[in-house]
Amino acid sequence: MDLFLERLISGLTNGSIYALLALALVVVFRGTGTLNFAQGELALFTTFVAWWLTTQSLPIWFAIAAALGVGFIMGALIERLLIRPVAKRNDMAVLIVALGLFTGLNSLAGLLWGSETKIMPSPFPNGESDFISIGGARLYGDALGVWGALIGLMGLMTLLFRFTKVGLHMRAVADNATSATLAGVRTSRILAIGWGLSGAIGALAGVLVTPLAPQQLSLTTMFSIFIAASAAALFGGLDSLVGAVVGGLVIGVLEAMLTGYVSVIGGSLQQTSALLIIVVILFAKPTGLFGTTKLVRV
Amino acid sequence: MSATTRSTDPPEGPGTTGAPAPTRPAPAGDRALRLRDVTITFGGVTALDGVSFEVHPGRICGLIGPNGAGKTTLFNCITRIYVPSSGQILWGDTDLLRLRPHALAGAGIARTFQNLALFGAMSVFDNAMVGGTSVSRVGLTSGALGWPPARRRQQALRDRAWHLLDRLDLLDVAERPAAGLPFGTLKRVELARALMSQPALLLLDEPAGGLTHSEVKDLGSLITSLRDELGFAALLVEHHMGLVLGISDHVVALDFGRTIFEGSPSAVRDNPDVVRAYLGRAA
Amino acid sequence: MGVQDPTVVDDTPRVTAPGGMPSGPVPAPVSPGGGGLTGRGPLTIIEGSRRHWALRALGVVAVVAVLLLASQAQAFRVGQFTNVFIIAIAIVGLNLVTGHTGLLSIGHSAFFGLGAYTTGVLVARYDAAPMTTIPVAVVLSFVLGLLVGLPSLRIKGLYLALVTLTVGVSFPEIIRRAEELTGGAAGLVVRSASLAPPAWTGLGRAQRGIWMFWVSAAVLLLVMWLSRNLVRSRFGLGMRSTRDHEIAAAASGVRVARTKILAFGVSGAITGLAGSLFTMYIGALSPDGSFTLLKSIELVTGLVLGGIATQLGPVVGAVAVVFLPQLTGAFSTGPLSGVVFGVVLIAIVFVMPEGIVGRIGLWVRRRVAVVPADRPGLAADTTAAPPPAPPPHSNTHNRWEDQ
Repeated sequence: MDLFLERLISGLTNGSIYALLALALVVVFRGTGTLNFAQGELALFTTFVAWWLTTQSLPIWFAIAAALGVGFIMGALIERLLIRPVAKRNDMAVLIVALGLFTGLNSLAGLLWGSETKIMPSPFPNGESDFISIGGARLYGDALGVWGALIGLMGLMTLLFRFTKVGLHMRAVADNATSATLAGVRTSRILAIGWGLSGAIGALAGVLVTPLAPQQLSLTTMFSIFIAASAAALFGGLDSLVGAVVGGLVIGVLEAMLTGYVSVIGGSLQQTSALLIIVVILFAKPTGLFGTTKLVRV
Repeated sequence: MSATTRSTDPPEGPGTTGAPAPTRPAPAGDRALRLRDVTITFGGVTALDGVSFEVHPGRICGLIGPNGAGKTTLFNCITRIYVPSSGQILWGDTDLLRLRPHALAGAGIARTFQNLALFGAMSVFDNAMVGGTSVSRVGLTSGALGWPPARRRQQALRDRAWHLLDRLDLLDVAERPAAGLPFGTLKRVELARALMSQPALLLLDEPAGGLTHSEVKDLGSLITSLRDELGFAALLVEHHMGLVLGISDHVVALDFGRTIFEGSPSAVRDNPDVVRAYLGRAA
Repeated sequence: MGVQDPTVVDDTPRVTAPGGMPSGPVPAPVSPGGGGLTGRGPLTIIEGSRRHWALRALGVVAVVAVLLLASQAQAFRVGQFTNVFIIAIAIVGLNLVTGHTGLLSIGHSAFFGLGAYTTGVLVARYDAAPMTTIPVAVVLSFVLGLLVGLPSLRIKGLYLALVTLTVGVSFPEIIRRAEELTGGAAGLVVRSASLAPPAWTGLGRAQRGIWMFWVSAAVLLLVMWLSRNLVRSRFGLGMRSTRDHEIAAAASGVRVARTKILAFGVSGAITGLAGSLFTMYIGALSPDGSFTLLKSIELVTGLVLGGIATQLGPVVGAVAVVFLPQLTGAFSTGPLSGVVFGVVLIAIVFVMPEGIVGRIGLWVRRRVAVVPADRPGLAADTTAAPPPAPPPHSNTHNRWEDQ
């Protein structure tokens, strides 16, 4: 039983990370109608920034805050300079730009800071004895921290979207950008904010995932997270925040259970399973489980 | 050229221009489009309610009605985008409701689109050639290998395409990509593409949309002269009264999904039901 | 001759499909007042005429000359050129499905890998003669392509790209698992004795390099010829119309589903063929070596840089993709080439979306136009319609507007 609980906890923790990155993907999708293929690598880059700051003897919390800030700025800049000019044209051009960012950001991180694996300190009490017991299983500090981060973020997002003007504008732009502009919404600023927000959320996902053993910070860390997050986001149809979170947790738990109980699966076949989930979802509902179908007028 | 053959054969050899002047109107095809009691409901709304009429071979039938009357819905039923809840649509002896949308071209039915649906990156010539897909017999491998018999079959289609482009005054822009051409030109390109399959029934979806007054007149004469040469029947969904009444042999008016009038163009204008549908009832 | 040829542009010049990356050579922009160099418009060449044949012969001679010259280089360079040919073949395959049918695939490394490992396994484990493994590799890749094409029926655009990503990323994983057959993560080595040129060529083991050079060059030319025919054929019309407007294509009688699936099949087969040659060229395979997402990105970069939906783009793109890392390798190790690829991808979309060949094609079409012989209104006919006006200036800005 405690093994089951441990797996559950591990699954929920990983799932929270997937959910965080999936939230970032959904925020971008709602604003621009496209999946930011480079989301994972942007998160990676900002996490490297955080790591670097910790090597400069700066406190971990400062490094994390800085990473969030860098993530926000980079996200906004990318949207304004690289995505918006091209988004008018078509899907493929945006995808290719995203592909370029994907490669470029990953390699840039390697170029700036080297490609060896790095140790990223955890912001949460992570020692051998920092745990609480639940039903025989151990709940360590970092798991609690990650859950807390997810819950906290969801709370913030809800507040943002429900109760602030910016949130309202973001929902308007996501729904119908043209009408929003006509109604006086500063659409260009909102789009940039959306991407900035998602860059920050991605950074949060990055700094939280890497300290989780055995993951240390390497150039390949975020790719499988991105795959799982994409699956999670698709679960919710790419435009449902709740769906993304549920999807992330479900995928995390599923993975943990499968890895634990089915020995064939392990390591990077986890990633393939997430990918297969994506394909299955898309087959069943080409626009995601909860997504809306686009109608075309001829 | 014998009078009993349809003058769709392109003139012999490359390099000649101009369609041969028809000596007399081409005989019509022999299939009629028959709608019987077509009904379709969406959720709680009955968009079409027992619509019945016929489009006779070689005749132009105009379909009119105020906004929301169900013209587009009916059009989409015929082009197999929607499936009627009940009723029959017969094309000659064929049950049209059995066909998938892409099978229409092979059945002798071609359509144009209200918002223009052209292949922007392809040349005008290629746009037309796509229209001949259903009548071409060139397969994948013979195409890839440049197999001479396949080339010859393709050549007959190419000749027809050139002929149509010439007839529709599109030679000037034949090699230009469709994207970026003037709206009126693009309407003719769509028409050329539709005519490539030598359809017996041409479905025109608001062809006058976006055209100027004189362009509409030209379009009208173009359609009638093409019909005289090629002998197709046509169903014309249209808002522009001048065009509909000018070229239709037969007019059907819809309102709230029902036929409220069927008859000749001259009778439509004064029909009280039609007038009421368009102008509303007196308070 | 002697009569003023009307000025027309040939070879289905294309511009951006509304809603698409450029889909081929862009028509020559001509200044509003008239055209070309002398004001009379581009020089016209009628397909099949003597001028045309002369031009083609010149082209053939040039290609042969370049190949002969290249084959005389040092063994290392010859190897590099061979790699270029192989990558070019792979990109020709990718171009069919992404450039001409409009279905972005970021998983073509899977086809490359399938072809490579098919040949590798058959030669290393079953002692097959390398050349005989090619048909097997092609067929298997074709089948995989058909399978990958199935999702494209329901799934579009970015979602389809995700599916292709799945395929591409799963491939090395599967190779690693099938250790018995493929050598797993440790890799597969094919003894060079097995890869020696066939006896009938009279070449020895040591001449394997030059043998692969010529084989790859020949296959590349063959594949380019096939691709050109295909794109111009009825099937090619189906591919391109599906890309530009699926609904209208269907209404015109194009069997869209069949077209997409077959396009993926043929595309996969050609890229698989490249993979097969790759094994013969390199002799050692590893799942994380040349069959990862990075390879897929390389192929896409080469395609976009060379010129999407052009005939010569894949070759130019392959040259760039193979030699760029060499250039950057001079400054630093690996990561720099990744950055360069990223920058190139982004820059191309902004600066030269039609690619290098597309841009050159623009320039060429301003000056020379090849006209199909069956076009009405050519000089031979005295009752010809007045010569069509040269295409008006299509300025770069407009080319990109969605309708």
